[in-house]
Amino acid sequence: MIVLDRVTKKFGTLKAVDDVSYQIHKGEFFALLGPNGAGKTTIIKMLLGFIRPTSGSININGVPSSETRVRKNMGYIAERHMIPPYLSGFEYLHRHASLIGLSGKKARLEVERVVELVSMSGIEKKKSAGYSKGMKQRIVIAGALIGTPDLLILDEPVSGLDPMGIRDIRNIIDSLRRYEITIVLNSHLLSEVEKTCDTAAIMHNGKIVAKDSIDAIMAHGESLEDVFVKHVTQNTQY
Amino acid sequence: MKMVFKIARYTMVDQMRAKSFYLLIALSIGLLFLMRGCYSADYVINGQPVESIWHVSRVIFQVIVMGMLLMVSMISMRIFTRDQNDGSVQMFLSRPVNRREYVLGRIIGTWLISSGFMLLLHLTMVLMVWSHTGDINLGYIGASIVCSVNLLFIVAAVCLFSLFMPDFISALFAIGLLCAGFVSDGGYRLLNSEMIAILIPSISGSSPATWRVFYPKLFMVQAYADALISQNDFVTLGPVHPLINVLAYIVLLISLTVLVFNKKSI
Repeated sequence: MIVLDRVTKKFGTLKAVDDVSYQIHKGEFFALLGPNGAGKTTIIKMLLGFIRPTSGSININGVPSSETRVRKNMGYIAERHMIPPYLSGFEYLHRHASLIGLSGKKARLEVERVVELVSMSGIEKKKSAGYSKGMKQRIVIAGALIGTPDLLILDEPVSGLDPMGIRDIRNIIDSLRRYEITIVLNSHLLSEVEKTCDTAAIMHNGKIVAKDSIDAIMAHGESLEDVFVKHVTQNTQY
Repeated sequence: MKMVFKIARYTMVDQMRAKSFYLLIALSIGLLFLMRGCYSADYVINGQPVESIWHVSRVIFQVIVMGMLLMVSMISMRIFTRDQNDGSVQMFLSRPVNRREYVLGRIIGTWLISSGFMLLLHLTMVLMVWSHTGDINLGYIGASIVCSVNLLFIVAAVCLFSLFMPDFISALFAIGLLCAGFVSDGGYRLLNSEMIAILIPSISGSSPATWRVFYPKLFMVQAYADALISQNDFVTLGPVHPLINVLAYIVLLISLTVLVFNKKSI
């Protein structure tokens, strides 16, 4: 379970995240929505321990997110899907396996498992510099899935992909439900969120302005986009 | 420490992937071969013929170190920027690796590969000297290891500066630090040399300014390495051995790098 308790993050005088409290339960597929600059990526980075809250706390299964050990069971897909260009997909994945303590045959088998999961078998040994955006994204997802994490953080996972790529990635993410992984998704693609997520929170100006299950959010027959626009406009001061 | 060595190994492996790495080794060794004529030339000092090969090899030894100091500053300046741009830093830090391990791994990896490179060049030179004289002076190997401390200093300094400054400026700044030390300590040694004592007795024997005593003693480390080769007595500047001085600076620089990197947003 992820618990955010009165989390505030300031950059100088700017409050990027303002007194946010929220709980994400085990196995939940949670979407973090909001316009640009709402504070979503800041929350994601705090979950990963990349930045620390100015005040408040973030605990993952009872352990502060700043502690290194929580990341042993965590997978992360960054907004910019990057693999060092000098590494092949296999080498990149092998490093992920090695960093969580797998070695030798165990590491190789785990890499083969995730490569198959993202349908990259046969091309994983090519240098990543020659991969398309979609292929890179598959490998990055495979990297995040090494060791079957309890928590998967997806920061704009389909950003920059074509519709076919988006569908492929959606199918891969959907297939993860069977592992009961908690997934935190940061996305602007509301149609994707509608199709895949269980719960969502809409952020604006660093605050959570709406939070509920996707079904409850859209209970009045409105699309997620309508609800999103309504909440963001209501909370914007001109 | 296991994670530090793992990251250090990745750093070395990644450096060795580049074809330019092998090209650089080949060019450097080629250059050493081109200089082999210097070993057999006839040198005369004050009308007396001298056994040139040992003197020349000591000079070439120091030239190799200087070249490596420049090269390592160029390699180190892009460690953090490159990792940020190609996603390596996210790859490491989204896994159970803390920032201290990441910084130490990158610094140690860069230092080990550059020290290995330098040792290879020094060994090549030792073999060339051996082919001329039939003698092997193991002092060169010890001296090479001593000089690798200077390489670590430059790696740590450039890494720290690159967290505040543009990459190239951070390398220049570290080289500037090195040059100031060379001028200061080199000048002091010269002024206190036997030759100057005879020529200008009023200058020699002066005590150094405090900042000179505590300034990073990179030049003195190389002078110490030279003393290991020539087996001459080594006279240092100030109460602390230059190796201890430089090692203390290295600890300080690495600690500051970890401290600053800990506060950096990824």
